[in-house]
Amino acid sequence: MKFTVSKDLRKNRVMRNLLIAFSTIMLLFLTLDVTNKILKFGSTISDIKNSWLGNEDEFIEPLSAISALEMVHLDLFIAILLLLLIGSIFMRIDTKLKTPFLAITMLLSIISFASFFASIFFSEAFVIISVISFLAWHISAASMLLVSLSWLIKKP
Amino acid sequence: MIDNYQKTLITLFAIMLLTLLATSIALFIIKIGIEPVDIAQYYIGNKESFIVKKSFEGLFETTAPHLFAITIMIFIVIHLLLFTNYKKYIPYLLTGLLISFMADMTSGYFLIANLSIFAIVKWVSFLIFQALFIIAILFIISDIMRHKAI
Repeated sequence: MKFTVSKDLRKNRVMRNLLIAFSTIMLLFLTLDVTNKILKFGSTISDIKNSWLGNEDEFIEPLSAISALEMVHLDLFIAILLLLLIGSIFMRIDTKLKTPFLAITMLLSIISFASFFASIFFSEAFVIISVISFLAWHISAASMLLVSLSWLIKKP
Repeated sequence: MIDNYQKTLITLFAIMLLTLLATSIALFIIKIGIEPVDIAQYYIGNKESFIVKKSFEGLFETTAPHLFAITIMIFIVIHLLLFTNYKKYIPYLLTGLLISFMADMTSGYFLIANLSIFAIVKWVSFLIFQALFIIAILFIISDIMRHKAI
């Protein structure tokens, strides 16, 4: 509970080391999550379109509604926990930009999931929005972690 | 007092959680069905519809991660409710959530043991769990909206 009560976490050495380790591992997770998606769906927009929507010429089956829902269900759960925890660490940083930064990151993640659904069920035009917002929220969350890390490492 | 940052964090967290609940309801409807008969068929199987009976291992693969994930989410939501004006409802919400969650998780095992009455238990407990979770989240959102941010 100390995490939620202490104002300056850097004064507590154990808490500081714990959060540095946590932030580092979460940075690694964000990187691996992007890598995993690239390996799974491909690195170009046409590869991703083929994996999500299928391609009759290349005999590629589209993602089924159940697979898409299961994927979003798991990824959304991870994103919620991750953003809540990153947001709780980032809260300690003293800058006026932290609220818009957090709002943009969380909104981008919601847009990424919503546009993924839209691309599967409505139009392939949403594929590019989903890919860009997915990359953007990962980069934004990683930036929040990097700022938090630099704040944690700095002496109070 | 609550500042703008906390307000943004909790509101967007609540919206994301509502989206997660929407995906779980959609998955339930698409995978299993809407009526208790569909639930019984999904678990017990039906030769005419080519539905294979669910195995114990298959059910366990779903139960294990859900035990962790849903418990964490209940903990976070109830913890946030502690700071609202709705904290007097916490005992009822927590009891309802935990009982319906356990009934939802275990009824699949009774169904594969051919106790088809548990299809109704599964159906009712799923509905109660989702309803209570949505109510808890809406309590948080309404309390956050009432607060003036500093």
